[in-house]
Amino acid sequence: MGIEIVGWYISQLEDGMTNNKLTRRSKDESKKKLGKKTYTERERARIDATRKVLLTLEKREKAQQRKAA
Amino acid sequence: MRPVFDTDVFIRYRDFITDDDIRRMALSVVVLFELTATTTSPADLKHYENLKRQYEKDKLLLVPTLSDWWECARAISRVRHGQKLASHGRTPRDPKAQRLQNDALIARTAQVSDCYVVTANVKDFRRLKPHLKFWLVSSEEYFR
Repeated sequence: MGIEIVGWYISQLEDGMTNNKLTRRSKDESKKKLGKKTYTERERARIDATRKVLLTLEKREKAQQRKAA
Repeated sequence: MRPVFDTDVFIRYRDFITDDDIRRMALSVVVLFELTATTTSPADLKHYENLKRQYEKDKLLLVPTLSDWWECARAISRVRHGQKLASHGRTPRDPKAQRLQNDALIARTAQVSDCYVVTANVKDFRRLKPHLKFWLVSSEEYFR
């Protein structure tokens, strides 16, 4: 009986540990999700288009520098 | 309130512009003109066309109306009148008149659309401030 109780207690502890681990992991994951910005499809399209333009400007400036040098 | 980036911000601060800035910002058609008109490559032109389409779709492309043009003309005229007074009646020769026109249009459309202007060239915009109401933020302050 006593051994059974101890066994049950240990299994509870193990469960608790794994549960804790799980919750800790899920908390970390949720933090990561919070950190990541979510954009709508339209916003994403706008961001991509602007990023391409910014890259274009970078390329243009590099070409100008090369010409000057 | 949304930021409206001046052309020089796109060029000087392109590494500092985040996705979140792009998501929030409105685009002035004058800025788009300045960016597009200075390119010679057909590939770049396509990028600008795509940019125009995206901002047009979201109604975030600021296009000056007749009254915007009129108010800007009045504001620039007042700036030049002020210069004339300061130079004891001599007519000012402003080589930057075209530039001032573009700045005025950016400022006016931003104000009408409840946006604020972010620029690296605060000096030119400050000249317009007494004659045109708008919110101005220097790019240094914005990207700090």
